[in-house]
Amino acid sequence: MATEHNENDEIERVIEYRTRPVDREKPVFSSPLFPHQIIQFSIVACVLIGAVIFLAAWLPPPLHAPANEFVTPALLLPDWYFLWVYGVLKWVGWVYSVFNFNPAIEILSAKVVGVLTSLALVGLLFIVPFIDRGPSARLTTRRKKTSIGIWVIFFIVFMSVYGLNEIVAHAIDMDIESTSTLLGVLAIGAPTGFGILTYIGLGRFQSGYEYQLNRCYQCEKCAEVCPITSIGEIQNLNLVNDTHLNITDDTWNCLTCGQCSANCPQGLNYEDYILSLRQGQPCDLVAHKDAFTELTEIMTQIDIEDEDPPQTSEYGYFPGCLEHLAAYMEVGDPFTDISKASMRLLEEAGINPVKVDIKCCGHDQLWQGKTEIYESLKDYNTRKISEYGIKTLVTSCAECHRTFAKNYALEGIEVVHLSEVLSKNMDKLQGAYKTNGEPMLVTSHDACRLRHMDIYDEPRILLRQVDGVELREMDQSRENARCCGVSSMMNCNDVRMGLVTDRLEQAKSTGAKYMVTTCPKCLAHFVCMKRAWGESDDKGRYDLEIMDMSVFLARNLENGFDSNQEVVAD
Amino acid sequence: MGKSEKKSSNWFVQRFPYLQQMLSRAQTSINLELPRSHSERYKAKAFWIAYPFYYLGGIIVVLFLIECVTGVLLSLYYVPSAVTLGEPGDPSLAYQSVEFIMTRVPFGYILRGVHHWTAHLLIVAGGLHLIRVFFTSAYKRPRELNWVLGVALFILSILLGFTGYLLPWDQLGYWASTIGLEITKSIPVIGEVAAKIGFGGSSLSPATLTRMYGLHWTLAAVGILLSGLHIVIVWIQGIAQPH
Repeated sequence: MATEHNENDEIERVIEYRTRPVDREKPVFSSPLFPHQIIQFSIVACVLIGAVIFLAAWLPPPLHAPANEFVTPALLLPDWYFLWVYGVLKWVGWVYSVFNFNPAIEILSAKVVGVLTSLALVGLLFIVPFIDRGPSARLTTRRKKTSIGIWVIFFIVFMSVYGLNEIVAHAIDMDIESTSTLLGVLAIGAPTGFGILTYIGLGRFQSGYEYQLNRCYQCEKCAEVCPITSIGEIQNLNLVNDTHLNITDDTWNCLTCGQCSANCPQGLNYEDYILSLRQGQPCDLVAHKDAFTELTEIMTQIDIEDEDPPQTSEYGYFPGCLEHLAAYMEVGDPFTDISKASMRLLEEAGINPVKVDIKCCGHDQLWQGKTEIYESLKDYNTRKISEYGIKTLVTSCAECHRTFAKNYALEGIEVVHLSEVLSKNMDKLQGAYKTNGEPMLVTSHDACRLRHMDIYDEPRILLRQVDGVELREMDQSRENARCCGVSSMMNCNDVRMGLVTDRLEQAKSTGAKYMVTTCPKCLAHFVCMKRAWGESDDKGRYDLEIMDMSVFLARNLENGFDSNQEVVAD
Repeated sequence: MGKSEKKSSNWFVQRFPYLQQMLSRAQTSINLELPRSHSERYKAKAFWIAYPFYYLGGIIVVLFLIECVTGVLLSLYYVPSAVTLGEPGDPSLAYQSVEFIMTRVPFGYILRGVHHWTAHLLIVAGGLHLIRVFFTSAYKRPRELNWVLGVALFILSILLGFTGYLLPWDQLGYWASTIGLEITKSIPVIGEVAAKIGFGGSSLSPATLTRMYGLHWTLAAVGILLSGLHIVIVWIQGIAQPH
């Protein structure tokens, strides 16, 4: 009901807009009746009069022999605009002869059926506006209607051709019977074919971003919520529209956090569009370039020798690039524990996953536009994952999750985030937590890559399950959660640091002692920023403990959880 | 120009006091602000090839006016009688008058040619106009009734073409009308009656020609009224926003 109400509102608004009288104070966008439209009309009139006089002079209408009711011409034809009715009459007769159908009742005779079919088609024209309602008017969004329209047009064209079957038979030098068969099949087959082609073609057309972005009506809600615009790095970031028109160069400044998409009334997917724009384009804004990026790129070159998977399970757990990240980014223990904590939690939930040993998922390469590297990673990983024979792929990293779920095409394998699989097996986890009831104030940061996947409730459900946890929401949370400030290892600069601080500030103002996230990248940025503040004069500014969701949950297990420091020591 | 215009309007206004008010009201209602097109609003690439399709209404108006003028001029010479002075198959009076137009009347063959070709173009333009309105969904609320009127006008123009086809009373028109008569008669229930009203009998006869001639004029008159209404409604409701 709500949508109908809105539709009516929209219609009222459009009617009001279209029929309002001219406000003399306002500039008129269209041309006035006099002189512009009158002159335009006169030119058209002159051209048309010239054209018909030209036609009349060069192709004068014939005057045939005087009418004679006793002399029937060899060829009887109606005028061209009645040819299709004539064709339908003949066509119904042909169909009857093919199926050997000789109706006894007169109303079913070929002639009557043909006439009624033609009349019905014309009658349908009258009621078109009463069948096709609603405000949607675009040719391309009305696939069914457009296809039916195309069908009718080709039906009339090919029925007219069928009406000429004797002339066609003569022209292509075939006997009338086989020409009738050919044209008869064509008369119904061709319009149907063209109708189906239109339907399919429009469907493919609709999937293009160009088409999607065309829906933008510049409400600027995207610019209002955009973190980049808010910190003033770009003054006039009219995201969707400007990018579409190539007015701004936001392709590389975009965080791809998807907050604009979440707020878009037209449901545009901006981050996917940015992703498609970036592919194959050079990018110079990568941070930690020397170490981490090179490492993943080297990984794609070396072929790790395949070993048979040590064990088999329905579930596979992929830790992602945690170990490598830990080695290069000095984030400390909350980081390195993630994979161990995740494995531990999965075991507590009654799932014994096999640890999937594959290369980097290629998330950063994909979003940095390094298509070739990403594709080679994807090919290798897809092959490798299928060798494990798993049915469900669990990741603790939000980026890996989005990449596997949205960008890979893993056939027969369900990609789930750790929080999803754990919340499904909550009952088994329930008894495993400590019950000392020590109160803990926790706030949950929604990583953008999980927001893209619409995962909001699962981490919160799991956190609430822990005894003593009180969940506090930040000013911007869930769909509107602010980005951590940096994505895909790009644009790590002073301004972006401001965004990280902004998010930390939001977390601090909730009064929470623990800030929990689901993405190791968010974690790295927050921890890095917290440390930076720790070295400044304002040492105690953020005394939050920032950690991954899995680590927080594992630390509250009854049997304890021993940190995995050895990896860093290596 | 402004001065003379003001003076003349004063001269008329002195004699017709309501004129001033009517004129100013007409000016505002005629100059309704047209909405900017989709491409103008979004600075998108214009699909310029579609532009003529948005002008088909105007083109039809021009063609219809040409038809009216040439039709009146042709009627000055045409004799609507299928009576044959002589053997069957000899030229009728109608045929002879058309022959006269084609050979004797100054620019007569141009006149008939223009009437003939404009009729064809009118139906083509009407069909394209209908297709354009259909695919751009311009018939949607609040323009449903104007669509119905438009379809009626399109059928009217086809009937005008059909009734005009027979008027020279030559072989082509005669036998095409025979097909038309047969098709009409095969409509269940109303077929026979419709044939009697439209063709003046259940077979072609001299009465058919006069019937067709009368219908041709009547339909033209109805067409003028309905197309006038059609255009007025477009003005009142505004042009549907192009896409």
